[in-house]
Amino acid sequence: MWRKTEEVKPTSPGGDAAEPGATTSNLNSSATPPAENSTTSEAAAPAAAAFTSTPAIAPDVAAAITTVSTISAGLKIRGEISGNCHLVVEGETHGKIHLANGRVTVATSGRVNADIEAPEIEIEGNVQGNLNARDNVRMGPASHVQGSVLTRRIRIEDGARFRGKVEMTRPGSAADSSGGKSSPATAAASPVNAEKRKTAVAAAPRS
Amino acid sequence: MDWTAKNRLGSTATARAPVKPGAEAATAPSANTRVSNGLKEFLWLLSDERQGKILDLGAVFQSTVMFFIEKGFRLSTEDLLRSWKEFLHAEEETLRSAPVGDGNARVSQGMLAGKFLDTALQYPEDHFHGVLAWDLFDYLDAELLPRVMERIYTVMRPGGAVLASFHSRAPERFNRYKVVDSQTLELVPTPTLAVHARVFQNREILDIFGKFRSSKTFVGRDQVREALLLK
Repeated sequence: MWRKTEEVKPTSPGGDAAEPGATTSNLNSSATPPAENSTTSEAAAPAAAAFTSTPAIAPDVAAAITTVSTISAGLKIRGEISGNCHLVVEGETHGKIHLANGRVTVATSGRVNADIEAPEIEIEGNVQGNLNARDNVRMGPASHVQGSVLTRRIRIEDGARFRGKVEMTRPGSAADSSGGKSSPATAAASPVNAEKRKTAVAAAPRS
Repeated sequence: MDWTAKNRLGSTATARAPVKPGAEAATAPSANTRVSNGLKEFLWLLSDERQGKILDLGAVFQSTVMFFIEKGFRLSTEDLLRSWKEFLHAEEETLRSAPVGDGNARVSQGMLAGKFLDTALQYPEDHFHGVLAWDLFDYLDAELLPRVMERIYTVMRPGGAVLASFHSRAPERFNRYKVVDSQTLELVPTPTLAVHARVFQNREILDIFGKFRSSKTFVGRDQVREALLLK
């Protein structure tokens, strides 16, 4: 079988995902549609420092998405997180993360014990759970992932630690269709977004 | 799956570009590759499997993952040596914090091996068509090795193949392995994860794979032996 013509390797997905960057505002701000959270957070302290939303420019996956929500270091959330925004996890989450459009980034300090479903998933920290990404998954050099990965494109940096199974999907497959049918605009008006939103009680980082 | 059941492509038990320690290896990246006739044969054995399941017991690398996925395999990865090291470290910390005279603090290597395998190599029986284990078995201690072999045997399908490498002399450095193509591996020098436990003679290699029904070995110029065994 090694005489077969080698297939063209897919392009690596990690490099084309532009990092958003802009000003920061509180999650409670009316200008920033937050991720929907069912949360039980630990500790209590001023909120703004720990759970913030950042208007951003995301030209790649979902151009209409303008916010980045951050679960900051020291914050611990249990429950299901869903919504239409980018999510950065610097703290700890247990449960499930589902973003119909947007990117989930688990930062170096982030610890996620949850299945993650989003178009783009980027791991720099520690994840125990299955990753289901419509577009791509990137595991950074310090990442530690335990679980199955189902995605269309994957990028694994040297040094990444992974225990689990990798399966690749093709455009149009079942995994590809999840969350991809509605545009960000229509998603905003969907029943999903009409659900009761709970703002996470924030906590100051535990030093 | 059998050695004689398929048309055979020519294979020679030679390796090019042996790994050399020192400056030469550091300045010549191309020297960090080796020909793996074992991999070539391994792929040949699995070539009839559609969406065959492979378990890689080494570090995860992009090139290895993509290589097997592009060939239509489903790849699972578990860095067994690193997991073992971390497990031992955690156990050591536990023992260190245990009260003096605590009877629970006395643990044997066998107990540790059993406890480790309560969480490691947890897969369904008869699941994998192939297992890759480069630089693994001769780094495991005597208590853990037979238990790992038993577990690997259990999770493999009948007819499945294990490709493992063994050093013929104590290695000068610790490497992880990336699959470059069907016959080439890239050696990635890595900080030592575990002490090389022992050099196995051919007879001993066959003994540790005692339950497997067929074997073949390939010796490279770098004195690394690749053993390919069928369940």
